[in-house]
Amino acid sequence: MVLLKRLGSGGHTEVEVPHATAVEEILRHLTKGGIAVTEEGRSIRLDDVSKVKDSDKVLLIPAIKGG
Amino acid sequence: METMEIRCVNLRGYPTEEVYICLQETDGYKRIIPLYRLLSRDKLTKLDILFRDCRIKGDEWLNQIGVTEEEILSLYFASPEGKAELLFRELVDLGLLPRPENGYITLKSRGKTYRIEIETLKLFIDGKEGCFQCDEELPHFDRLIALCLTIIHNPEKLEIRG
Repeated sequence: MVLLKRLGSGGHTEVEVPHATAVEEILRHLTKGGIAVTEEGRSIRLDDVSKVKDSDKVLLIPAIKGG
Repeated sequence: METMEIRCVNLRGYPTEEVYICLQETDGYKRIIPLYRLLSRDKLTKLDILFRDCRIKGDEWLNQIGVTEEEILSLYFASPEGKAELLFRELVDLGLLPRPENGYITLKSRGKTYRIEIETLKLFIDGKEGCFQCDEELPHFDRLIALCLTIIHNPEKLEIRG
């Protein structure tokens, strides 16, 4: 199981999901321009989402861009 | 515990555009507590009266409206704003974000120095003020976390002009 913690306008949500679901969620988040960071501070990229380990705690950060 | 300094500030989108916040000095930055979201209507009305009569000195306002610092902090840390600050502190303790100093966070990424004023979220890139935006309306400290992690992991995103 992977713990996903999402920052958002409605406050933080924390869900524990199976590895395959987590990979799918992280991919969707990254495609929308967001950032995913593990508790150890490793940034997850689109091409290495599969390296997410079962038991990882991942922070999903909304996209920020220059204005 | 540090004094809670009350302020009446203008905020767009609120009926009177004047709301109450309080500031508390904490570990290297000022905590901004949105009283207008946390206190009941009757306590806010008492603050209106105190402000109108100019009877506010130091942290006397707490006694005057019948609330303690502990109660305010407990309401704050149960709110999205307070939870965002707790996560910010957790990430600082984990070493994922730098420790704030004198109200600023300083980060170096890909040869540039980024400095963020925590109270206002003003961003300075190599000394020049820069802009950023987030499509979501995030609590103050969530916005700070998102900005810091973007600088650390994807600073090129801040160069995109949109």
